[in-house]
Amino acid sequence: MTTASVLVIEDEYGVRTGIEQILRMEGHDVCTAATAREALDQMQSGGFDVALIDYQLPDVDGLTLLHQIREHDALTKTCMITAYANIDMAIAATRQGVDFFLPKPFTPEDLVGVVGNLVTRRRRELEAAALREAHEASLVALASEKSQTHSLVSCMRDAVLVVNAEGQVVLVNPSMAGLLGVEADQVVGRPVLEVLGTSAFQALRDQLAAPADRRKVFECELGDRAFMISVATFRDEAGTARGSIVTLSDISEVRRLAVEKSRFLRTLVHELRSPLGAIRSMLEVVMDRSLGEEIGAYDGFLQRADARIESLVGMVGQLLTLSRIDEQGALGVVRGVVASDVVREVVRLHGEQAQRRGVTVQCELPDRDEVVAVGRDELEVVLSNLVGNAIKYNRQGGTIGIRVGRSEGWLILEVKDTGIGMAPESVPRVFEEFFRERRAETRDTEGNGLGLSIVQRLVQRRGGAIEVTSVLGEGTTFRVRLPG
Amino acid sequence: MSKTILFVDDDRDFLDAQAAFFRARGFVVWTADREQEARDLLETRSPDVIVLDLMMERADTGVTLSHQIKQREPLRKVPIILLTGVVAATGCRLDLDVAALRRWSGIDVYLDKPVTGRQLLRVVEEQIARADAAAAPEAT
Repeated sequence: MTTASVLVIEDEYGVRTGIEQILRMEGHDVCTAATAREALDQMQSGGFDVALIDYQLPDVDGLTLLHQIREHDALTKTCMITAYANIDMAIAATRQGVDFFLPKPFTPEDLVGVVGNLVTRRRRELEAAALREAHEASLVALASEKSQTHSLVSCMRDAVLVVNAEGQVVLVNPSMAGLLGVEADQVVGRPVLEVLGTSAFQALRDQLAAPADRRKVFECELGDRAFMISVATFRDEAGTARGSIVTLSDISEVRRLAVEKSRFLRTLVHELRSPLGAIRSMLEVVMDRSLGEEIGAYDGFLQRADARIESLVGMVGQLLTLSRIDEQGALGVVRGVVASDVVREVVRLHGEQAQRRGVTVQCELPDRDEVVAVGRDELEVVLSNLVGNAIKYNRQGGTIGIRVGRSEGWLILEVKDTGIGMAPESVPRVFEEFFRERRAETRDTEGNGLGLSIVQRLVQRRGGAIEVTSVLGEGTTFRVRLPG
Repeated sequence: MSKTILFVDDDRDFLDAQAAFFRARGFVVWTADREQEARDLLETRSPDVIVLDLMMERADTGVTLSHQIKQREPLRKVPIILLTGVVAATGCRLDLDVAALRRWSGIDVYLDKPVTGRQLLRVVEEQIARADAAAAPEAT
């Protein structure tokens, strides 16, 4: 037998104590009140499982008290005790939510039975309320989890599409909608085979129409982009497909890099083969004694072979520099260096080379010391390459203009020559590794086409940029922008 | 009578070394390190064999030059050996069907660079012998 807390509100002393005793014997905790006021006071100190209310109380009527009790705890089971039961009162009390009527007089058994009944109901309702609360809490959790998942899927760069067992689109995230060129809510509910109608999705449609594996990955091209498509199919215990999740990841950049890498390697092979072939041929002449037994006859070939080896060694060094720049990636803060100092130093180092070609170097440097946020070595490499090129590709007696200035917080370095210039189609390719313009004017100029690649990467690594403008036969200008 | 050979390659070191090697073996060697120079030379001379570099001023210099040579009657039967770095790497025409390219250009032998004088000598001698054999019935 479950015990409960019971409040008895009865103004008649005899009846009140009688009920109290009977219920105590049943093991219930019993509190009593002679008036509604007393009852409300009792309720302040705690709720009750059951309230037995006499209809006729001295201060307020039973119905009002009933209302107040239910306000306090809607799950308190209430029972009206009345000697004057009439239908109007019964209707009113029922409206107020009374649970039971116990007409006076009643036997102790009646009383115990009614209270027991009410206690059981109260317990059941409490359990149900607890369950409901737990359920609601989990619904709230579920809803927030769902919204988390939703926002997660929404902000994914990969395009996501979910299909149900009927082959209808259940969800598309913004990336997928953008890819398909539709609004997400336009396609939800539509057949997936229709939504993914373009011919590019043929393989995907085949997989969705007859899912073969649990997970399938393949590639497809859509316009100028390449995608890796992954289809995950869910199956129930019987093995029936219940739906699929389609994910499209843009792999254009990965592909582009792979193509670029293989092109770079092929060019590298070519660039190595030519000098190696020449060196080998020249050594073969010596080994073959093609020019007779006099060793001096081979001096020319040996010197030329040596020069080719030296330029190969130089090229290998520059390749190493390039790969170091790529590996290091973005760099931390440097102390910075006064640009004009480096310009003067680089010009001094190239003085002899310029003089040999009769090239005049003119520097336009600012009065104040403009500091640039790059390492001294880096700026030297950048300027040496640009100045070296400006001399190499200049005409005899030409000029080079070097200007240091500031624009919108950036430090600007300009190296302008009056040389042979470049054909318009060569200009955009000038920073490509190994790119050299094949022209009559350039064929006798030394160079491996790596210098400007190094320059560009150094500048970009510091958050700067390099631009080039060139007019064939008139000259070329390089403009470097670096953080000041 | 000495056999004559024309080398066309933009690498002067390679050209001079091959010239020395072949001259030591009794060949008369002409060299050209520019496309136009080769064309000019062929206006007046008819070598027994021509060795061409694939890439010079353009990516397909060797192929185009070969095609032009094979169009001209006195030169049509001169064997042409093409020295190539990486055939597929050069882009342009060479990404086309190789068989079609062979027919179009008329190149007789493709050799991968780097090639030694000895390897080249063997191929040059083979080609001259083949050309001589083909020409022989006409002579009789």
